[in-house]
Amino acid sequence: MKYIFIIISLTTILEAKAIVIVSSKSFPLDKLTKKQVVKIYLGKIRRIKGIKIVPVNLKADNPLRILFEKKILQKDREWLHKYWLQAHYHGHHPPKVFKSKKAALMFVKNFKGGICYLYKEDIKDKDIKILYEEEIK
Amino acid sequence: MKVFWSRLPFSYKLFIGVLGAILSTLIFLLFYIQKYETSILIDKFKNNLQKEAKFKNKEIKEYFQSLFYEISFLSKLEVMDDLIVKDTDRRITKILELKARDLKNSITISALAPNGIIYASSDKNLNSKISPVFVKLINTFKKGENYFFDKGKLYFFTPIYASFDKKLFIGHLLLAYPLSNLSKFAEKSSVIVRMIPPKNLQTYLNKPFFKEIPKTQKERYVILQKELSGVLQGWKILYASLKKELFSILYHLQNTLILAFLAAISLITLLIWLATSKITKPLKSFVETIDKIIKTGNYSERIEIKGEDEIAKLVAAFNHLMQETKKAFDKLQKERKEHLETLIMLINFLSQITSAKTFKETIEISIKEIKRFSFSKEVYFGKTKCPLSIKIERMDIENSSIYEDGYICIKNPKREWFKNETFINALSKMISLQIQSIDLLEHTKEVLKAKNSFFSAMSHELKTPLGSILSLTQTMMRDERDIEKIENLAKMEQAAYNLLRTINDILDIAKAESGKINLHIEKFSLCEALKEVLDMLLPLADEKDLKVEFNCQENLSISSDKKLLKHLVSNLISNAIKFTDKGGIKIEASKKGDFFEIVVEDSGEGIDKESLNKIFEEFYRTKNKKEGSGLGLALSKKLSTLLNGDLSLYSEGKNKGTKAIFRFKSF
Repeated sequence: MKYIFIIISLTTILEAKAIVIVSSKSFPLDKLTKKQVVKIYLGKIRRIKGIKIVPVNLKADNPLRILFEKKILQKDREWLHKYWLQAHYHGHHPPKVFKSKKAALMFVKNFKGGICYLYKEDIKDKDIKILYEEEIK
Repeated sequence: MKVFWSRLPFSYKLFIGVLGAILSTLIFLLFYIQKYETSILIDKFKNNLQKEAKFKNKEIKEYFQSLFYEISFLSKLEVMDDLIVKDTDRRITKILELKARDLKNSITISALAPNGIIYASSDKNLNSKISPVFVKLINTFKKGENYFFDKGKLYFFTPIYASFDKKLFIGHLLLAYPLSNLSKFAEKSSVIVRMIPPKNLQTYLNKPFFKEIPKTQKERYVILQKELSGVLQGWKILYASLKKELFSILYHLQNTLILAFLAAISLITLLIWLATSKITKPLKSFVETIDKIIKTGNYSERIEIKGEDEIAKLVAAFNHLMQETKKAFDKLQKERKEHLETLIMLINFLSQITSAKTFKETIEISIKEIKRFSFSKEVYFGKTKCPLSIKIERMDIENSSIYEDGYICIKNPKREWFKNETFINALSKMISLQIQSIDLLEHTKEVLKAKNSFFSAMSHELKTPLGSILSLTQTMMRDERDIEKIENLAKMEQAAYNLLRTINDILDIAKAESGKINLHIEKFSLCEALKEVLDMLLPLADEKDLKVEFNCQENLSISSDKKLLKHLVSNLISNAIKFTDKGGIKIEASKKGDFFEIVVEDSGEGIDKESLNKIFEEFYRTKNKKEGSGLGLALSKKLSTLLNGDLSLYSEGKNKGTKAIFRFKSF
């Protein structure tokens, strides 16, 4: 009982966090809709205003990625796997993967078409802009 | 040389011939190997190395190509996008480390950001630094090339583009290859391999691998150089092999050849020895037998015949020749013996018949001897001729003619000689001569005897009345006072005296010829004896005013008949005085070897050539008709013979003087 309480409490804390989609300041748009975010991450939007958009993923076992796929993309892993398998035959690749949030953030900063998801609280850098934000309950 | 060769034994000649052939072949082969095989070997070696160099060039090119492919491949990996995030996740670093480890050879691979900063490298020390070769890289990149050299390293590079945007240049991938590793291409090579870099790189590459063979040692090597292509354009690959090692096979071959030839020579020597001993052994025995025959003269020696080959045939022919030679030799010996016997017989015969003193004795001895050596039973002397007879000839001394006096007949002689006419004629001549000499001797003796007895009788008969005439004349001269009458009486006495002297001379000669003079040998001084003669005759010389010179070697002591010697010399000196009117007389006595010599030389009227031949004849007188009997020199000659010597007279001719030499031996 005691452990169940702790888990519930932690979940509550997590749920209180917000997932943000960030890009460099030079990204062609200032805001994205959830739909746009999903389309970018599923490779359906590849250019905005002529600029190549490169979404960045974290490693598959990263909790943030799991949370992003669940809450933002709202797709399970199996579905995504099948989706990218099919897309591969059409010449498309899944989003670029970085091992660390730091690398992902650095990529976004250095490449103007790059976007990535982060916890809002992790953002301390002013060189980036938040394109989309979603509270996680 | 020719003589030396001809004297050499057959086996040596054969051996020298075969040895010469083998040696010349060996020398030719060695020369051929040295001259041609080495160049063939060098050509072959160089050809192989050409191929090897080509292959090595290709291998190096391919290796460098593979290195380039490696970085090319790596640059296309999606993970290279991490360069954008400065390889924060160290994923590039891990890959580069793994790859560098795989490639080995101290290869370093680095990923450079477009600004030259190294964000990932297999060499940790290089991280986050600007690459020291970045400027060179950019310059090379601008030229459109993908490699360059720097400080002993070869660099390959390739640009990296983002996987998500192929136009997005995100940096370079740079591979550094230390050139010292090139030596690994020479590993396992059987020859010396060097790679000679261009001059600008030589300062960074100090290993001997990058140096040429020093000029001083080049002679010892066979060298091949080849230009490399591709990345190593301007480089040379050099192959070298020590001639000693390269030609070791040849040297080994040469040694094997020499050994093989030595073995062949030994074998051939053995075979020659065996073969020649088979030939020369019988030849040697052949020669030895001939030598033996020459030394001993024994022609019955034979050589043993072995087998039926050519040598056996030669030996058989030789034996046959020897047999025939022996027969001929024996025949010759026999004939020689017979001839010798004939000669001995003839000599014996001659000595036998010469001992005969009468005709009868000669015939008897002849018959006896002929019987003895003819083996005939019937040999006799007769007046008639028979089938085999020896003619006996005699000489009629009164008429000086030859007549046949009879024949010695021989019946059935056993000896062959008696059929030879020359032999029979020789016997006839011998017997006839002996008989004739006996006849002549007897006749001479009788004549001499008659002459001597006549002279003796006559002299005796003359000397007695002459003695009376002399003594009566001398008595009358003593008693007579009338000078004229005395002179006439003196002439008578002189004439009678001369006659007496002549008679005495005749008596002396007769005595000498009939051997009635008995010698009285005594020892005396020759010089003194001569002086005595001179003292006696000097008044005669003084009368004619002649100069007398006398030379006598001192101590000439002799044994002889002094009286006769003085008589002889007195004859010679008185003759000299008699026939010399002016000038002088020279008397010399000396000893020459075993002989004594008395020379009486005058400057008188001399003797002409005609007279010289007859001067010693009795009663011969020269044409000057001086007084004398003409018996003096005849007597002197006879006396000289009795005194163991000889008298000779010499004269150059009329008025050139005379020289009388009496040469004699002491008794």
